[in-house]
Amino acid sequence: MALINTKKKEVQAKIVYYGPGRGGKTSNLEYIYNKFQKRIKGKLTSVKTHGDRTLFFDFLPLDIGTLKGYKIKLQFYTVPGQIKYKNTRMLVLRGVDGVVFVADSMVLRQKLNIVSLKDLQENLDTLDKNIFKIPLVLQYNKRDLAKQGIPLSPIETLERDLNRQLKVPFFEASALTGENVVETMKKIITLTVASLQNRL
Amino acid sequence: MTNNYDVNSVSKSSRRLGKLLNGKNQPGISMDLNKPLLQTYSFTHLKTIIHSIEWEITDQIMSGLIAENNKLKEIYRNDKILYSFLKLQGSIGKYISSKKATALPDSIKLLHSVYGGLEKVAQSPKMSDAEKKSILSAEVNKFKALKGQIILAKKGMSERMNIKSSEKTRPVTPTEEIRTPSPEAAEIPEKTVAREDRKISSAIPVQKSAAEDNAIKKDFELPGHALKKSPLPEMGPMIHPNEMIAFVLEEIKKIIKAEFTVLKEELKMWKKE
Amino acid sequence: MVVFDGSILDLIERILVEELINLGVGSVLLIDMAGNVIINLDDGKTKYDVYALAALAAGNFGAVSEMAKIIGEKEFSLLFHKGEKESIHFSKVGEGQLLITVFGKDVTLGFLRLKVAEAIEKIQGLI
Repeated sequence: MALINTKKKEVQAKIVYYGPGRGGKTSNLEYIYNKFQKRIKGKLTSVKTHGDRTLFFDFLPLDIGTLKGYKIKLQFYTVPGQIKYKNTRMLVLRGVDGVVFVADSMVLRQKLNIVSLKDLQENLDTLDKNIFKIPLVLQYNKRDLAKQGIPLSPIETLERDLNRQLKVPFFEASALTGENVVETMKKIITLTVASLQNRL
Repeated sequence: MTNNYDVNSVSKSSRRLGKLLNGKNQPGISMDLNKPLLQTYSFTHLKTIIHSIEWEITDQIMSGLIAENNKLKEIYRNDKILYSFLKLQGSIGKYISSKKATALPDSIKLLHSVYGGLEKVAQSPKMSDAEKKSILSAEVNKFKALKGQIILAKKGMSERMNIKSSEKTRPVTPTEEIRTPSPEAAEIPEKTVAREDRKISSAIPVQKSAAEDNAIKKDFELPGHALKKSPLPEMGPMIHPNEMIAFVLEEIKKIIKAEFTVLKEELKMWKKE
Repeated sequence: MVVFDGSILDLIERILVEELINLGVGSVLLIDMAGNVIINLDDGKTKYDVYALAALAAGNFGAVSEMAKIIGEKEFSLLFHKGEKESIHFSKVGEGQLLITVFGKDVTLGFLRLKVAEAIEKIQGLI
């Protein structure tokens, strides 16, 4: 839940990158951090396993300027995607203001995408949030693998399976090459700030 | 009838039995019956309590400390140095117990420090008396410094209370030393007021109430002797806050003087011994 | 959305300085369970990445709370990590906030817990 500090004239909001395991959530944040490192005051904090899988979360604070006289501070988080970390994802989702769902475009992973999206809906529900109302952007990641001959789900399939009811903005992206990573981030920031603006 | 035992074995056993019954010691066993067995009483339980205070300070734990402290004081009443350590510790324990979150942080450190000294002295039977006294003396000095801090803190608080009480009238609580004038006081004729002033300024202390006595006694007590505390002056409606502060400061001076006198006497006694 | 009024924050800050910073605590953070920083105070000597610390603290507290439920406890009464030089203590403030204190060897945990309880009692009514 966004926090407004009238003394410091500051608004803090939380954006979470959600999705199945190994889908590219951490890679998104790592790309953003590496690209804007000189302009970002904070560090990318990661709680990982020895095998470099996200264990708890990745965290990146970002100041994006002022709005109506208030400094906007965004906290970007990723969740651990593996099914066994369901409870941890719930903890990280607490107080969320905007979500980027990072779907894995590989055909083999399509079922996991659907399960993960359902998981997101359930967790938001538990937190008294509505997946149809919260600022949400879909990212169809790993589009670069097509060049390597790896079978990817067509965009139409992804849209039909994941976005038919939600009807939210989506981006074809590659967290590895950086394609549309920043655009995804900008979109979710816009949507989140717009929703905050209405309440400021 | 022939004996079927070895005469030599029997005589050996008799000799051993004789030694035993005559009180001759076996090597490695101390059987000095003049020393009380209780002198080897362990401080383990006290150590446990002191360590638990590091984690949590509750009424239960502090009561446990005071109880264990009292028990040990009884056991070690004949050992002047250990007894003094325990008395120090008891005073600090009572202070922390009564003040809790408002206790000075240094009191907690001192509690641990005094225990450290006590443990060192207790576990070093070969330590000379001079060394033991030196360790005790260091703790006593820290104790005095803490007392000074407490007095200063109290003084600061009473000054703040004076400022507040002069800003507005408020109801009196048992711990406050200043009473606000009653509405009737404003109507008391001048003669009566003057008489009240004279009575207070030449005060022969009047018996104070039990509540006040307990409030004072709850304050930090110096171990080793019972301090004679003068009761507070009669609290008439016209007493000036500054007069009260002056009285309290006088009492503090008396306490400090008394402490020094007793300490000097104790040092003299130790020197003689 | 939660709004914290400037005057309330001033009051809370004053209480935290009086009860904790003046005790010798190096750093005091009041955060929400999402990891947002509400108040950040320090003794002027210590500097941390408070936003990362807040995020991790909220996550840590949340994780430990879940563990408590799994073993049949409503919650744990003490969450504290001891370091060689610096230690960290967590305490709930109502249902939605956390008070985190970072302190050195000069401050004993037992006394800190008393002071934290005192501070929370004072600020609870304000939040």
